[in-house]
Amino acid sequence: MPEHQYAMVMDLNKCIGCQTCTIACKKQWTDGDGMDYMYWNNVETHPGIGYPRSWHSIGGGFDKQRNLQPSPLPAKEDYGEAFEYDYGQRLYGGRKKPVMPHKTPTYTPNWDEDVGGWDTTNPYYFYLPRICNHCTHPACLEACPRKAIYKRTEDGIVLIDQERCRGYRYCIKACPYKKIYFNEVTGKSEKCIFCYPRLEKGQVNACAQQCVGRIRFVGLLDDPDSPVYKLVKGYKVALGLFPEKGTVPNVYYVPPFNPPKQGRAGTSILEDSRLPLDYLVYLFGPKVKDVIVFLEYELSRAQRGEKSEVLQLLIGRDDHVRYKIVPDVMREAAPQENAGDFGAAPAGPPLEIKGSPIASYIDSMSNGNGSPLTASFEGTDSCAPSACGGCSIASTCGINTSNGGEA
Amino acid sequence: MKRLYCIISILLVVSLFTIGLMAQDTALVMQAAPVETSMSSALLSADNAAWNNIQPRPIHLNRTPPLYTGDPIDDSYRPTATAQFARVGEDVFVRITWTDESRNSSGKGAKYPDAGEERIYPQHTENTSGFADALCVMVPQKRGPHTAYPSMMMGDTQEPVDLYFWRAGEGFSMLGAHGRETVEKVANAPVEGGESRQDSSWSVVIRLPGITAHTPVCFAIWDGGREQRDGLKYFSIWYEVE
Repeated sequence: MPEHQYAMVMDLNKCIGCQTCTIACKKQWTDGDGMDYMYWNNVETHPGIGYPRSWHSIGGGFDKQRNLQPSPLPAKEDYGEAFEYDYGQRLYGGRKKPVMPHKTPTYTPNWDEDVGGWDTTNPYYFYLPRICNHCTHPACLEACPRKAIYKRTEDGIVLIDQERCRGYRYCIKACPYKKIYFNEVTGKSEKCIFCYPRLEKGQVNACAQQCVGRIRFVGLLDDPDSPVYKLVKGYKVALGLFPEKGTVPNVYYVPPFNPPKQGRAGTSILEDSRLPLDYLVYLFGPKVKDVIVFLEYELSRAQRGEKSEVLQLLIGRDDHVRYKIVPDVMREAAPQENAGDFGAAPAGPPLEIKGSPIASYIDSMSNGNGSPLTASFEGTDSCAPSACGGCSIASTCGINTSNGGEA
Repeated sequence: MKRLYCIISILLVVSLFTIGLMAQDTALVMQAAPVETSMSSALLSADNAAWNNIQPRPIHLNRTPPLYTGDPIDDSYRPTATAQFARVGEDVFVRITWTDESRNSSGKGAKYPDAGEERIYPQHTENTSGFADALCVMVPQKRGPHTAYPSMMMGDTQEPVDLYFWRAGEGFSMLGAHGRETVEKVANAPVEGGESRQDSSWSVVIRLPGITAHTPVCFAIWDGGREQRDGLKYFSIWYEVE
């Protein structure tokens, strides 16, 4: 087990599918030879086919007996083509050639963008940004006979040793998220490195840095002061993708919990769902229902003018709220009392949790007293209007951002 | 009586000769045909006529069992393979010829002819799911006769091996190992050889330096069309080169 674990939380309620993260990553890491088709970060529409095609249904991960369940290898056609154009002719030649890609398109990473689903009068979809999950139990690592894949002890980031890799691609077959890519030019497999060179300098990941929706939260999962700790282990509103695959991913998602139907804004997803709840359960497991119940309760509190610390945290206007990057040198000097224990909340201040937020909500409902939640995090900005910069839920949480955040 | 002795003597000579041949086969000896030094460059060409004068010997191949989850079970197919050996001093040229219906090469990406100077990626990945045909000749680093051969699984700690490796589309490289999962590329160790593809078979020549008498060698063949790579392959037992 690593001493620490970097993690990322993405709030799917705020993702607008602009692909800025995708391009930030592309320009930073995957603009070399043989990397044309690779998107270490991609954003795909769900329900949807995904990138590579049908990645979420072809296999990978572990079964209940902890046996690897490798999938077939995705072919290049399943990833989609990185089209080239005759730029020279188009930009400078002017010989009246049509603006056409070099191959007839049959599939691309965003082939079904914004298609989503449809039930009679109700279209629905949401965006799912994806990077390597830097799993606690990486199936890729277990599958590699060369031991070329390793999990860094200092921060839990999973990397491929390019010197040891010989391109056997057992890792790609084993990964349930299909977030490892084969570079035919180098003959080796490559993947998201969680921007470790940036983190080591105290800078946040490129995808998070450029995110215009401010959907990403980054920090150490064992650091009680980090936003990811608060969202994953404190409020428990962020869930991993396909938990039944057994790899324990360290990228978490706040599920889309309240997209309104036309003319029915604010109606609970549990009462009158726009997104099929079954699909969210398919992606995030059965706990997604508890998260939605809790978030809807918090939203109703905010709409009543009460304080919701978790919603304020999710708004995450400022960088210091969304990110807590601990450069190596600081981490090495820090006490290691919580090292290696990611299954339970570390003891001691500054984090104060008085019971599970969801349990408190259920208790309050059963008592019928409507008492507010008792979860409280020191250091989290309160949901004071002065601190609110607005977000995708502002239209329904009761905060009017047009007047400087005054409710 | 004299006639009887004569018949018995002839039978005895024939029997001894037969037993000798059988013994030679039991020891799996491969005779290397002596060749003039001037023929070296010709021998490096896998389809050079010089190889027509050297007797091919069959190599019997086995297939490794499934090693990892998801490996295919043995479909009982085996390539037909032969080996020819030519000796120039202490160097041995070995030509392996084997059947392989599909040509599977390791790509190095594709350049776009129409992209001009403004192209974004000079080389693209074209194939993410294919594997290349390959050949490897394993030779103990300690040349000469062995009372016990090194492990078939990439040698031993006490018996490291040289691996003369060829992969379709990439060419030749030198690897070293001292046991399973210890294979490493050897830097600055060029391997001389040549390849030829005819009909449904490969012929690959590799020059093996320092092969003194009775040095053991063995072979491995990967069929890329069957997704073979790593430990999933066809392999021979040890042969001795004379």
